[in-house]
Amino acid sequence: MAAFSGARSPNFSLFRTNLRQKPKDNKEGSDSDEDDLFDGEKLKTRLMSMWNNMRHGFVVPFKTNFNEDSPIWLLGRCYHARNHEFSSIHSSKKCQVLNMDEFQRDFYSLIWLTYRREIPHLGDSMLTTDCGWGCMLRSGQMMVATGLVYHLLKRDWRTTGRCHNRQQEHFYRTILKFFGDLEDEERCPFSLHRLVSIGKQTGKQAGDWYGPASVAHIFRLAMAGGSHPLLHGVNIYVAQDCTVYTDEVERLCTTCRTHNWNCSGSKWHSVIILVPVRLGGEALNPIYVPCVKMKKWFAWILITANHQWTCHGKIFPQSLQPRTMAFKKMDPSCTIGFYCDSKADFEVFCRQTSEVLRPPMQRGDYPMFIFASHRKPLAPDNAVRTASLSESLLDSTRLEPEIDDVTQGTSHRVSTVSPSPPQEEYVVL
Amino acid sequence: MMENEAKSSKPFKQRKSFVSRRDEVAGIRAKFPSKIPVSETSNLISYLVIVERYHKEKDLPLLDKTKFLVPQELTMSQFVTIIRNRMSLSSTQAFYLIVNNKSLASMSMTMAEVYKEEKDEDGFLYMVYASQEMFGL
Repeated sequence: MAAFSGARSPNFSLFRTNLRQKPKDNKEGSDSDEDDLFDGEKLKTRLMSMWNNMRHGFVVPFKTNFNEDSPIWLLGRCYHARNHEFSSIHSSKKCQVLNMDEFQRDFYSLIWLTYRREIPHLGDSMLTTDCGWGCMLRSGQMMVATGLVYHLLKRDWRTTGRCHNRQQEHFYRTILKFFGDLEDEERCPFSLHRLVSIGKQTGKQAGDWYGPASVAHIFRLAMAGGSHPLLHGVNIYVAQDCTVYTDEVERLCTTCRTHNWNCSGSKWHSVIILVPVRLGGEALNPIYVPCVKMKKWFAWILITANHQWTCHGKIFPQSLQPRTMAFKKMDPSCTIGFYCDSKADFEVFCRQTSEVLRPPMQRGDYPMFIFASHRKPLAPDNAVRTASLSESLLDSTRLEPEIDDVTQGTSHRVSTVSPSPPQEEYVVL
Repeated sequence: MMENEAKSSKPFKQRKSFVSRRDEVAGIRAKFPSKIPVSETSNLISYLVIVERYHKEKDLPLLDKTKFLVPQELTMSQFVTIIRNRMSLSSTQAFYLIVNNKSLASMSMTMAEVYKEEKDEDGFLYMVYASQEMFGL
């Protein structure tokens, strides 16, 4: 299984040539030639590969059936099988609608990263594969890879049908190498090995399952430690408690990360903003569906770590084709990613995104996430004091027995001697 | 701790009948009239909020206490910080408060605003907390 695919272009074969020159421990399982079909080792690899395809749902060779009457949104772009002009509900502006051939080229230009076997050992573990546990890390890699393509090659980059200059080819290959499965901090800052080693700081081991939020933070740290020159102009910001603090984004984007390259304080660096959210308990709460659909007429990326949203579709690390998925089957836990090129871009993003984050027709205010100018610095210290103070207050003034009296008439507990179980006490804030 | 775990396997709403829950709210209102909303128009001081772990949550610890008397002007941001601190969570650990299956993401909302829209018939406001699901494959 090649780690990099989806890019069915001359560039891809170039890159594969590069991979083959890598050391022996990085062999390409499925790259076996037809002549080697009956070679014992290769045959085993093929069978393993077929088994994994079946087990993990790789290779969906069927044509995706999109509804021809509705538009498809892919990372801020609108595609439609029939109409070439489509008026967004949220905007009086007409947005450009592209045809399905353009969709194909856009989709196949996305970098596809997936599980591999027989990679160098992951950290201290004996693991040489991420099959069965690495989906979140791979999804995160795809998300960040997409952000980096937007950063270095812009949104209109396509692997086919356009001419590329040498610099673009160099950028593209460098981005792919960033995600190579090698323990090489300089050249592969987002390798599985690097991510697993960063994850260790938060108690995760190779082979563990990762949540979308922890993956977002792992990538934030990986980017902060990235020393490659092409990464100097881009940062990763992770929202906390569903809040993007604009002052923190500004600080991140105007602070020089390394002090050894182009250190001009006034320059605003680009940023990939990751927002981990939880949109319901068991499944996605239907009130968020209009927000998720995001009749987006602006050009930021919107991908979840768990699934990439292609309007009605998602991309698993397992699948080669865009797969459609009902919203009700979507997992409520995900991370949404955006890319902002400049300060102006970020400001427009804050303004326009706020408008679409609030579910319509709700009495309360339940946005997917919010923007705030800064954290309230008093909250944490104050809160801790209040909480501990109130507990001692509760004990010293004997509030607890009084509350106990209140509940006693109706509760099943009869004994007045035994202290009430901890969860029956109130914390007074 | 073991006992606590076992006890908490059943949510508060299932441990007590509607009548006993309603009486508990009424009883606390009577004991602490200055602290509890008496009617919609009165001077509201505090709300009774139940915060429990989402039943499928495995990653986050159980709270030692699930019942809170929360002042009306407390913002969700402050409330989340209090809960986070009580569980000693790091700032990067995923933690979400969910009320009636909706994500409480608007951190500037006050408890009064949430209570108004989401309170239960028994007079309590119910919240569950969860991290994010862990994904394999």
